[in-house]
Amino acid sequence: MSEILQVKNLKLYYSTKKGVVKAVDNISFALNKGETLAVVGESGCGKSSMAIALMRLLPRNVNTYQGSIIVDNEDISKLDEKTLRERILWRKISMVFQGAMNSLNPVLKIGFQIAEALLEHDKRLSKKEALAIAKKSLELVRLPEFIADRYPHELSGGMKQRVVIAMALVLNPQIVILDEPTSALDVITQANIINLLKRLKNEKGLSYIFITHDLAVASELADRVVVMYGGKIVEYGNAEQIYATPKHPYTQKLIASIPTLRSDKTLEFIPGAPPDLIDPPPGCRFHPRCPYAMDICRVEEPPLLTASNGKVACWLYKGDIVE
Amino acid sequence: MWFPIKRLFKTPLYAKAVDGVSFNLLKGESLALVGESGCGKTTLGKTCLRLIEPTFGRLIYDGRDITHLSGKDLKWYRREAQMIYQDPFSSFNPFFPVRRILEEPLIVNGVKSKEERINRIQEALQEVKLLPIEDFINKFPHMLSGGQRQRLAIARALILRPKFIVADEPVSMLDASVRVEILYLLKELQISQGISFLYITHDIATVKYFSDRMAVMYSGKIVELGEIRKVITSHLHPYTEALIEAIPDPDPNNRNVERKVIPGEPQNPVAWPPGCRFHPRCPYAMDICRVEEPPMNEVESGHQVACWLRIKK
Amino acid sequence: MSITGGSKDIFDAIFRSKPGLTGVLILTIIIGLSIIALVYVPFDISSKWNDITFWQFNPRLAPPSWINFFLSKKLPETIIIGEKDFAKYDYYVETAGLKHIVLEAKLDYLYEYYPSEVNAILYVNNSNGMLVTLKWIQPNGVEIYLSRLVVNDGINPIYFCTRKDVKEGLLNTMAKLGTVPPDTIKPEVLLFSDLNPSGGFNILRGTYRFKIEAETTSRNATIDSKLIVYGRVYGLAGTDSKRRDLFVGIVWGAPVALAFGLIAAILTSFIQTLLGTLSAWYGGLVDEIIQRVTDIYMIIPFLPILITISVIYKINIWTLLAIVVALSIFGGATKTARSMALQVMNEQYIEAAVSYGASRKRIMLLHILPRLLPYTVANIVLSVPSYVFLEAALSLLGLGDPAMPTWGKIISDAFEGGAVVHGLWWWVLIPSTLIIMTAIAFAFIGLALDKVVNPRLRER
Repeated sequence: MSEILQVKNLKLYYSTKKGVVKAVDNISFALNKGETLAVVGESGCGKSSMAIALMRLLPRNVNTYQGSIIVDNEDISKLDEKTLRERILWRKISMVFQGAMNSLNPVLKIGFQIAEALLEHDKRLSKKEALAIAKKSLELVRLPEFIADRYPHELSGGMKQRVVIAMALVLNPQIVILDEPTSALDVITQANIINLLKRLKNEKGLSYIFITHDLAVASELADRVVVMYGGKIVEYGNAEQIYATPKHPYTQKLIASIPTLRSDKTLEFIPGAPPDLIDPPPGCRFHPRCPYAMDICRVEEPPLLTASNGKVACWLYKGDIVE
Repeated sequence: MWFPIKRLFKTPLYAKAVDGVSFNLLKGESLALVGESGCGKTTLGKTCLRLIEPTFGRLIYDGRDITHLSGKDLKWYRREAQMIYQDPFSSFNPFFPVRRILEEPLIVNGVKSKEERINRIQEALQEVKLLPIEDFINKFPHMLSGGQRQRLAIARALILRPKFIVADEPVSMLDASVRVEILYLLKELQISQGISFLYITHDIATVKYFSDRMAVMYSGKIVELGEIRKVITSHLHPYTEALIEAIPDPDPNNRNVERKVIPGEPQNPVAWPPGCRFHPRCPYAMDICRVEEPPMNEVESGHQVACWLRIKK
Repeated sequence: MSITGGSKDIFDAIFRSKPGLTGVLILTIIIGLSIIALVYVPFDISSKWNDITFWQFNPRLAPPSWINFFLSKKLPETIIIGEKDFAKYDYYVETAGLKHIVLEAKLDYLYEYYPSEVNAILYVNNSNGMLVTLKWIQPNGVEIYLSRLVVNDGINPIYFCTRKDVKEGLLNTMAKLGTVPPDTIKPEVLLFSDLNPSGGFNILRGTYRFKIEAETTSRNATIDSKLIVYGRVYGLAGTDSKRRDLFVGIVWGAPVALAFGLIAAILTSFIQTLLGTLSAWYGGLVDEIIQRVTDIYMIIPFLPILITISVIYKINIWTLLAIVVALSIFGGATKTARSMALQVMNEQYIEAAVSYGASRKRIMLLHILPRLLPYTVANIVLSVPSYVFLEAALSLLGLGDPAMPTWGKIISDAFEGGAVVHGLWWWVLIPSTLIIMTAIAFAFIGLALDKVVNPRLRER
């Protein structure tokens, strides 16, 4: 499996009135071609920030933005704005934002909005050509052509989400980042969208980065899983491993807290609250909530260690340092 | 028998949000109302609290007919029945601190002594485990996390010592890992205070942690009603089956198969199809389904279904 | 977050931003002026403003004295020699039955410019008439016989500059010295000029003496005098044609302007917001009525109606305020407040309040209105300048309160008094600058508040 995206030591900090928020704090991972990498964590763990860091859609109050993001042997984090917009964004990597279906422009027709995405990134196309491509893209997401002439309010939630996915795919990117694509949808619609994503992945050989707080939904697509906590990666490995034998105490608790329909297990919940990203606890960020916290955990941050085929950032495991 | 709702029609502008719903809610019971958006469950919930007035049918609470009461006649009911809202962000006045938010229902319902109010506020915060009290009592909602806000919502619902609570998607906007905390809390309170709950949700996976019976709604009607375990294991109605099929359990093998899903989306409340409302999406639709609406039929004790498949002609 | 900000946001916005601070600073100055007004200025300003005798010792149309700072040759300030400063001796001649009283005052005149006027006042008591001779002695010894007249008990003002006998006295003196008199005889100039032929009417600086010799038959008679040499500059803001100290007028105008502007702005803003909220919350017929009435109100021409009322009835400033408010209670803010209230109404906590039994009135007052408060405050701040200008404009048109010295009235008097034509800049510019500064102060504060009301400008 070849790596299509490598992220090394990515950092994204924000300046706010209360201090510097270390939203993404030294993250490294890789995405293989044709696979789905799920990024899982609670709200506020930095997963959405990581997504915008990858796309370099930085807000005004950015404090630090470091690290390398390598796509096709090129570090896109070092490119200038123009090159980034013309060659990379939307052509190699695109994104479906959280709540995107609600950000469709209510006064423009669907076809036009998709065409707009095209025209922004490919100036050579004429309006007519762009609209034609837009209509074809609707086909790709299994929507009938006449939808191009409708307005967003005439569509249901599921249809709007399909439109947004079509917009992300319109320039045939290789990597698609999906930030909570199904969290606002009903179960049946969600299942339909996930099926669509599965199909598209196989048909077009896409690679997904799938961000969600719901491990159950993540299991629908994930080949590998990255678990984030407090702006850092705490566990990273194959889906089989993570679900069957989670190593990091946080991952274990996360899995134990998800309601299951088919099996009867007692749910546990994780006491306490996620850490403050401005002033995180010293040492391991999870130690205040960890049932196995040792002295070293309170003092020194554990590095990402290999432990039988996966990577964990936890002092409970002894292994080779990976970072 | 506590809370029978008989044949409830709601027609705002002829959009039949709830179209002929009957069920009973027993004292101290938690009934889950499951369905997708647009099926009418929120409307039903609000009607049960008389935030909306039913167009047809009757609402009987504790033996009293509250269908068409309003104003002063309804004041006593407002004390006994409360609601927990879905959105932890907008369900509180952003200018009020926690103390004030909890004080409001007390003031409005005539608890005049300041001391008594403070006592009850402290009691409520303890019950939902927003501790230490001194820490939370002066905070504003935007300073709390989602989970904490929902606890506050529960505290507000409890402070009047209601006997009936409608919880409208109380955990849908919370992280998956926080949901169970809140549900356990609600269950604890239900048992310790004997409150009857109507738990509205679209997530079937959560119902068994908080409810005893469940009603599945589709397009303004209840299509299956019964004890949770029975409904989930035998899922008599095709829609219930579809719902269950659609929900993933955390299992990495999921990614290798396409989930079995029914196509389409729920219809809008103005133009229901003829016959059984589910027939356009039903994989087992028969001729009669397209023509005549199936009645609610008790298949086994306490388990009802509205489907021609289960009715022996 | 919510559509509108919170009260902490307002404070932050005002006190922590440059425009906000500047605005507050200017406002403090103006409020300071108002406090001075209330503490130091005589209480009944309206009557005193129009009382000529109150201002009699000020020069007319004098620019402010601080312009001397910029001049190499200083313009004179008013010098008043009071009764106590007159050297006095009297004697009684038994045989003639006459009492002679001599008063003499010394005046050190060191300015390089002439005074604008010279007056004397004779206070006579217990006489049955006095014969008084007035003499003016210049530093170089030249003595000018000013006048010989009979005065009675009471206050006798002697206006040197307009009396024929003073002019004759000057002419005589010049004839004796052999000087050719100038074309126009201006006593305020000539009394202080070198009248010698070689003098060339240059200004004479030095010690002058003013001598009063009085004769009367009554033994108990007394006479006192005041000599007023009117300067060319006065005070902090100069004087107007009626000798009124403009600083007093301006200082008094400050609280009036502020009060008028603030009261009008606060009342109209609050009422409009309340109506908008009522409209949204109660809906239906109430909504329709309020909105239609607002539409009609907004079409009505405001100024012509005010002018009409003002012409027909004589109004004072408080009546004016009441009419302005009455004509503005339905306005644009009603509509904006209505849309904002509609948005707030959709939030879940409103429904929650209904579910635990809160009354409609309570919900509106406690849960909806406070959310509109930041908007109302911004509206108030931004409309104050309009009302200040309105009051000034009405005064300028002659429609305001004729008695009160408001800034607008001062400017109005200035125009009537030909200030523009005669270059009496202080009379117009000083009050105008203050009006503009007040407007700027509020505009700046409004600018600072814009960040609160317009969430997109807020930092994330």
